[in-house]
Amino acid sequence: MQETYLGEFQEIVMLAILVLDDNAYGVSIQKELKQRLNRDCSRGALHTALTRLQEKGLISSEMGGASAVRGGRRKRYYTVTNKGKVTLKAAKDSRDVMWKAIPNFSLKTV
Amino acid sequence: MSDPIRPPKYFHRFLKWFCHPDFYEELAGDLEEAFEENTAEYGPKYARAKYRKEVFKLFRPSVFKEFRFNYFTWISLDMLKNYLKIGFRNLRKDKISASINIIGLSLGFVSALVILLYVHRELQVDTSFTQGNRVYRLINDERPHSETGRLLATVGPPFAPTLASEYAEVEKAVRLRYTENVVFKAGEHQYYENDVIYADKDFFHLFSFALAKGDPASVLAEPNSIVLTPEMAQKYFGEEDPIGKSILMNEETPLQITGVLKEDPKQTHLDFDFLISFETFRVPYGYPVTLESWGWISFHAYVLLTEGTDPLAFDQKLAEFAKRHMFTDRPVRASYHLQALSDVYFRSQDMMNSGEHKHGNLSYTYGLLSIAFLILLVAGFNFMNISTARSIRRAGEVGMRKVLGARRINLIVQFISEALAISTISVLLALFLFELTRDPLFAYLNWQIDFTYQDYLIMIPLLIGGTFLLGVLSAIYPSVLLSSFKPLQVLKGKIKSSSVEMNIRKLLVVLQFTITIGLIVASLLVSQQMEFIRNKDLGFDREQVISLQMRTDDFLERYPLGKQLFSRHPQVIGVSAGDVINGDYGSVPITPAGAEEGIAMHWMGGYFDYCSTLGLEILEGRDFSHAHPMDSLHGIIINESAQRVFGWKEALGKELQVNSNINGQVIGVVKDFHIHSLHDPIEPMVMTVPRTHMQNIILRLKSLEGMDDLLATLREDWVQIAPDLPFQFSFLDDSVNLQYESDQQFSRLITFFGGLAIFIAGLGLYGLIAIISSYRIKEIGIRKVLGASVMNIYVLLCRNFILMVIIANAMALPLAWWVINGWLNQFSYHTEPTYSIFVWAILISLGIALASLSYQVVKTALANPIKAIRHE
Repeated sequence: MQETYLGEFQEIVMLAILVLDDNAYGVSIQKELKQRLNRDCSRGALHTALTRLQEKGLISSEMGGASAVRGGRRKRYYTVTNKGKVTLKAAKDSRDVMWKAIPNFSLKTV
Repeated sequence: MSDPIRPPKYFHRFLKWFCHPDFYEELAGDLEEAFEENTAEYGPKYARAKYRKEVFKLFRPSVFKEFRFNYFTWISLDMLKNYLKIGFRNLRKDKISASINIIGLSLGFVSALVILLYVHRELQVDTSFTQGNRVYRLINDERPHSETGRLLATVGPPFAPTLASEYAEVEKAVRLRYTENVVFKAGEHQYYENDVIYADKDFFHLFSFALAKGDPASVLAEPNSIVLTPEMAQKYFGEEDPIGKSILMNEETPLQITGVLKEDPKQTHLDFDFLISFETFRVPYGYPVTLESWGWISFHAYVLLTEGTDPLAFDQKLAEFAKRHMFTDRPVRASYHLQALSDVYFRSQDMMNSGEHKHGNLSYTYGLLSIAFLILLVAGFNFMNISTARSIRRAGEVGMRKVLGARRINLIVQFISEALAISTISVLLALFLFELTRDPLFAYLNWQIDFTYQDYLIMIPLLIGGTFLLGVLSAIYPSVLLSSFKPLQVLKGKIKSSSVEMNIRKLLVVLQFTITIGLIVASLLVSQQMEFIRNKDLGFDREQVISLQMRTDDFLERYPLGKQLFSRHPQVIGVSAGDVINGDYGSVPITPAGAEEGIAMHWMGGYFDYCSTLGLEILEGRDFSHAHPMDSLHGIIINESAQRVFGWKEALGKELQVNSNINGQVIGVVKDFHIHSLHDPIEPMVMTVPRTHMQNIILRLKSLEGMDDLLATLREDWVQIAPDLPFQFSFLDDSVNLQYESDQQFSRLITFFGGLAIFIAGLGLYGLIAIISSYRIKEIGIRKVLGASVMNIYVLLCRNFILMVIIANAMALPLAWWVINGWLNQFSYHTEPTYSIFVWAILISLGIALASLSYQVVKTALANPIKAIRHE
């Protein structure tokens, strides 16, 4: 299949969606990134990434049910598509290949 | 919670406005959820700030809805490039119009730049003090209590300290006493100084001037302390550190230098080179007062009110305070008020004693601003006229663009962006011109502005705004006009200037010339008034009188020798001593014998032969004279106005009490002379031999020829009279003229900028006729073939413009008359505008119009008709 380019931020967003399983929506993804990676991202930046990923067909989304909080507005839940999972896996594999090829890797930086 | 905390309303609305509906529910929900959590965790303030930030960050193209008039297709980068390319090609094709547009606009911008810089500086005065908004000056208003009452910028010396000690609202109080003619001596350096202030120790608390050396809280605390400006430190001590050194004041008081300011005081009404601690101040010799005299109204007093004090409420308390201290056993004679520091510079012209500090003139400042605006208007009209006149040449392009699918809005954007490009070029050129001409221009206009590059920073927003505004405003009309062309007509070549367009062009030319003629009349009238001031007989001889400053306690012991030495020179025809006429005298109560209440009158001091030396005309009686030594104790000379006020038929021999301590008799009456500037009417005045030390020797000269030689010999004599004092002389003319400084300034400015406006308008006319005559070339060719003379053609082409200039004259002259009369009425004595001024204005405006028109018109008229007709 055709190789899909994946930005670093997009990759992390996809991983966060997988971590959150069936509770991945805007605020929870932002929180996940903050808690695990201590990374602040604005809702605007996240929106751009999610839109791009959807355009590429790597994630899909659907609206959830109404809730009492958040002004009664519905959430949009995101899930990673099969194509997305394949792309993620391919990205990880290609990195592993490179990692393994490094001779005498030491964590000590020069 | 009954009233839940909501996200910022306007930001939510903003989001709703720009957000694509597909995303709105999700995004608004997410933001609100985050907001609720943040509110719970960090509080509403943080949550709101976060919400606002998030909305801003969502303001990105991927979130936008499709706007109804898609704003983003009006302007596309590629089209903009094309517009500019075509625009520049058009500029190149028609160099005359282009350069007229650009030169006119940049001259307009330069004027605006210079004027704005000046006005900005003026409005900045006294704004830099950290607590300035709580500083007030105490003023003294006698007018509600008596007909001859005065409005004074000063109060008695105990007023401010007592006020501070009795009212908690007053945090600090500072008295200032201005002093002139002080001799300072440090080592070899000895000079007269005029800008010296005695100031209380909290001076720097109220006026936060930065000190380069010394502690602001204590520099003025001790007696005999003095603080210098850097300029004076340099003048007396050169590169040495002056701190701790001593400087001798008036040959007797050594002062210790405790501080040096960081910068020379600028942009403040306070006019000083030296600050001496108030403790050092001694009541001058012969003054019948002490520092406890509430009636010695010669001290500027400033108070710093505590934070939160309502100045209006505190102002009310001053009446009670004054009654308690000053009017316990007599009727109230004066009201006291607070004057905000920000009003001191611009709003104290009418106050007595306010002449000691610097002043701004608000009407001149606003007058200048309107001149800047008018010049920009004239330049903008040029742009509009030339663009519309050239529209026919651009019609083909407009038609083609329309055929290719350009909408009207695109064409408007095109022409506006072209105009913006031109105005940007003009601004850049203006900056370059400004940089180039700044120093000579400021020198010519007599502005002591030291320009720093920070000033550019201040002007950047103004410049960008101005560029944009002028570009857009002057392009709106031409672009609407151009974009209205119907493609079919245009491409068939059937386009003609519409009559509306012609009328608008005429209207703009008329307005331009109205403005220009107005400025011509104004500058002619202002210079006529200046001429009037120069030539007006002031009642004394101002040209051939010089004064020598001699400030010393033994003035009277030295004076006879001086008089003897100076009188030897055949050039010197009179020697006396006393006050110089500069509009700055004390005002004291004068009480005729038998009257209860004195009348406030100006009090001048002169020695023997004072009137004859100044050239005052004595109507009755005689001058102060050596032959009557008692004159120095009891002799009083009054002016006609004083005689009128007293209502005396015969004044000689009448008894008067001056300032409650001098009793004397009137020995002479002088013809009214202008003791003040021509702004003010002549007021009653009495003259005695001064009880205090005199400071000036006054010489009357036969003529001004050989002045240099005379000064050299006077200088030699001086060494015998006062070897310990510097030789310093001034012409009476100069001190008189100082009173008209701001008027002269205004005269220079209006002449200069008026000239500039005339030039720009002439330039516009020149450009316009070039375009118009090129359209009519064929018509003119045919007319010539049919026998029209060059003169016929000339009249044909110029007729309309001359008519417009005449209409402009008809509009401008009454308007200018009305405005300028208001200005003239500021002067109690002013010139009557003569008809010749209006004739001149008409001639000048017609001359300029004809000069701008003639070259092109004659060129067109002389052209060989064959060429014109064979065209095509």
